[in-house]
Amino acid sequence: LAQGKPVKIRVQSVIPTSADEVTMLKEFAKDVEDLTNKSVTFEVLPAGAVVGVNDTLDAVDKGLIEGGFAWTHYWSGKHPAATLFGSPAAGSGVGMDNFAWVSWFLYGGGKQLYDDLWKEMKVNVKGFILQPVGPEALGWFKNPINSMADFRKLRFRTPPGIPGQIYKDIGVAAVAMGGGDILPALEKGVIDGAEWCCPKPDMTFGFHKVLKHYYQQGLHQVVVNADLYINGDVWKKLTPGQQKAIEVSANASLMKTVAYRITENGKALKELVDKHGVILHETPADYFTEYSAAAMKNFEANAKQNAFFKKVWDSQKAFAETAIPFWADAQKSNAALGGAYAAELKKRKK
Amino acid sequence: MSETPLIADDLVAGRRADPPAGMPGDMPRWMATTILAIDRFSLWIGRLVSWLTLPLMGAMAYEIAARYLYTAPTAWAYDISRMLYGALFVLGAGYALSRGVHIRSDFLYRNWSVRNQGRVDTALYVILYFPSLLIFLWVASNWAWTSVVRAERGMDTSWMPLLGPIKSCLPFGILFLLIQGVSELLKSLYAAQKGRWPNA
Amino acid sequence: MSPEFIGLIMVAAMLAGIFVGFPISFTLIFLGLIFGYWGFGELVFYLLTLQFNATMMEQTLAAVPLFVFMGIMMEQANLMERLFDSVQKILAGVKGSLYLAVMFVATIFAAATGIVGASVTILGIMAGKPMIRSGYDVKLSAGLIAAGGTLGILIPPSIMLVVMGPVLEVPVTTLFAAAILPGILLATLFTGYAMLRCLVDPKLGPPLALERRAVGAAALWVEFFAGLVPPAVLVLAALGSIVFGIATPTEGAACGAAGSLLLTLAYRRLTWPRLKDALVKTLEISVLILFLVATSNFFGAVFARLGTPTLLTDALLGLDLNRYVVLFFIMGLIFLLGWPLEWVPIVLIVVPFLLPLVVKLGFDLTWFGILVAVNLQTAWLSPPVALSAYFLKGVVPQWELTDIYKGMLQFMGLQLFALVLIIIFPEIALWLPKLIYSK
Ligand code: NA
Ligand code: NA
Repeated sequence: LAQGKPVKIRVQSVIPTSADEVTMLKEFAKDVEDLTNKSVTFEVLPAGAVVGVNDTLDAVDKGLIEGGFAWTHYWSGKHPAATLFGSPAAGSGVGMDNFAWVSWFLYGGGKQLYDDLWKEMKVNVKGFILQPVGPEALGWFKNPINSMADFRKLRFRTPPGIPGQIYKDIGVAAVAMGGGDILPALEKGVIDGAEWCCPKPDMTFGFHKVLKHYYQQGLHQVVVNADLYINGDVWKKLTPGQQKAIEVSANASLMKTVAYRITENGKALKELVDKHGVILHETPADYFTEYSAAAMKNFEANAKQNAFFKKVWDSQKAFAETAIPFWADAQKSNAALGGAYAAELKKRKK
Repeated sequence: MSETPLIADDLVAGRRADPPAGMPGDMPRWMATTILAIDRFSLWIGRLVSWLTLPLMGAMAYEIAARYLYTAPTAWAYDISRMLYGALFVLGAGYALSRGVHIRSDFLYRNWSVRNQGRVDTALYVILYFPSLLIFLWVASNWAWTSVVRAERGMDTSWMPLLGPIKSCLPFGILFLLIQGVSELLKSLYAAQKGRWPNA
Repeated sequence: MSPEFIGLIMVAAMLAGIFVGFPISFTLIFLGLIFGYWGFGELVFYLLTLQFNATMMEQTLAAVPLFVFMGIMMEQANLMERLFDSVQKILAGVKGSLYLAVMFVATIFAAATGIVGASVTILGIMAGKPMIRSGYDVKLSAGLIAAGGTLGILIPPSIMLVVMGPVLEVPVTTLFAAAILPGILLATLFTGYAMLRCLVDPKLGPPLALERRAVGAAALWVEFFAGLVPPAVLVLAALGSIVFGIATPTEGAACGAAGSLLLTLAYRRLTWPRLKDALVKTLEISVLILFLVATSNFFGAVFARLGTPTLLTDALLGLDLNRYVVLFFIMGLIFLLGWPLEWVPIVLIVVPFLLPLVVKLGFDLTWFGILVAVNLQTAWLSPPVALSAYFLKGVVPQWELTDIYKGMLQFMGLQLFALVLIIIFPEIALWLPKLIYSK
């Protein structure tokens, strides 16, 4: 069956092993181990265990570690198209949410382009999208913001790369800062707001201890995908059965992550609001129009400069043209359904 | 009160005095010329590199002012500051070697005769220092070159600067270390033979 | 042979190898390459490059050259003498007044700079002669100056804490906050000890000769406040910018460096040769620390790649000892290594090895960091490799090295006492960060 010579794959993650993403990575690893009768096992190493965070992909490429775990857009510096897989800002400007993105990935030609991405980068790895974790929240603020004009008065820690560039483009005072500096900087008022991820990871990070105004709806990372890289030589030495086990487990991980995140983020958001006095706000309407328009411009510029970027983006556009009108319409039912019950709960609480 | 204190350094008690103008008379001519030329080269590099501290300070001071006074943080200060700092200690490593600054745990070493110090240093430069750094130079050069030709960019900020320049500092820093190593090896050889350090 | 076991041999080779006396950085590169090659082949060459890259891009460490520059500028400009002079005159009538004056200035200066050498040299230059002239006890004087100088590395800003932050993955600001009370505790212990000795035996610190005393009290206080200005400006620039929310710790270091530059300019002490000299010395000390950061990161990464830390941690945890017994051994190990080694290799090479164990034992890492910092202060006061002694001997040549050693050892005892206090009462370290960071 899926058995072959026992292989141990050490995976260095770019986040601490206590993070939620690692919990799901370990579930994936367990699935592979069970399917291969423990002939393929994984060991998750914390960020920085063997090489620095930014050198993780290089280390997998050279075989220093057998595997790495990050988000695809971490490697945008090696190829700009990585952002279209890891965190296409504003849904690549063509309205994809994370579900629609997975649809493009599995049935719209995305997977082939994803495999091509690593060839374009000239790195010897086999990648697997494991965890769609979007949409991420707009972020945390010291005081409420009611318009883009308010937003532009604040020093805001943005994500790096293209999503951050777009913030700069719309005039937000985007501050670059290492992860370890963010919380102290918020405490001291060096910055006035920041984004990280979504309720559960944000709570782990501890934003609510410093800031109380939380905005869920944002566009900069409405689609975010975490992925696993296995060294190409290690991958080729696996038996077809072992390879199939990893592929099947990766596909399973896509759905499991969505399910896990709804449960965990729901619990965390409830705790944030009920226990820690966090106040939820609606994101100002002009944010969506300004950010989308700027994202579109940024992508157009990138597509002009880079052929592969254009190829991937064109594929996403083609997919979106047929799929998004349907999906957006269907989403209305979902939003209306959930919205009705959430409103009912709110009423009961009063 | 003396105007300039003798020691300003935290950890560099074993630091050498300023480079001498010449080498002892009983040193072979070629040896003296090589040592002096290399030491002068490293001194020149060191003086040049030492200025990096000022733009490092300036970049961050500018960022604070722009962010605090005008709510206009820069996209570049974070990356520029760490690049300058990284370049500083890598490019300055060869100069530091010429001044005996790389820390030794020398509580045994300092009690040996100069001849024995010279012998041990000679052996270790040949067996340990040059082979390790030559390998390092080879790998780091390829690595930096790859970054240059692929136009690799940084991904920690929205500035996304080209990484080729800072990555290239590493092979250059190692090269400077190797060059200074030749001078140190010759000094150790002299000490092993004559029982005196040429620059003591 | 299993890779984990190769890692054990590597550590043994390291402990033996660095004591041969070749520069530690190159010994570490060599041993890492040899044992890494043995354990996992030529990949180790690439690991060396990637580890250097990671160190070169570590933005928090950009604070190191900046804090060093600040300390050296302050030292070169001789801006502390006014403060010392006035304090010494104000206290002239008190027994052991110079001890008080030294510790007062040492504590203030510790809050304005992050390096030890600068403090010890300045204090030695300023206090050495008056102490000799007034017949002060050599051992007590030298010990106090050396010990007071080491406060600079504990009381923020502190280079040691800047380097330790990334190692422990604790924000530097948290470590800074945690170090303040222990720093004050040590200053109090040092002063109390010296004054108590004087009380018992007044010969140790006789009152100052009459001509050293000043006449007008008002003028004296004016001098005192004028003397407070330079260190106050620096504290405001470096620590103030962080505390008041203008800057991150690294940026705070840049503010301090810029402040020291402006200060020497304002006092007309800035000359071209002095600036060039300060920059070159900054480069030397920065290379010393940062090159070793890079090489020991590489060495540690080889160790981790071989899998030895996991093996050792599991083995030690398997012994099922009380966690405070393990802590005692850890502290004992660091203290012993502090005799032959300086703090840099200990923070960078030894602490990362112990860290997985400390984490598994569930100790607070901020608290642990402060314990290590106080423990490592003794490394400056422990002969034969006690750099404070050489600095002091350099500026006060009249004092015998053996007397300086004997004096330092007394204060080393006080530091160990403080260490025990912080272990018994963790709040000494943890109260302030909790107060600041959990509103
Ligand atoms: Na300090
Ligand atoms: Na020592």
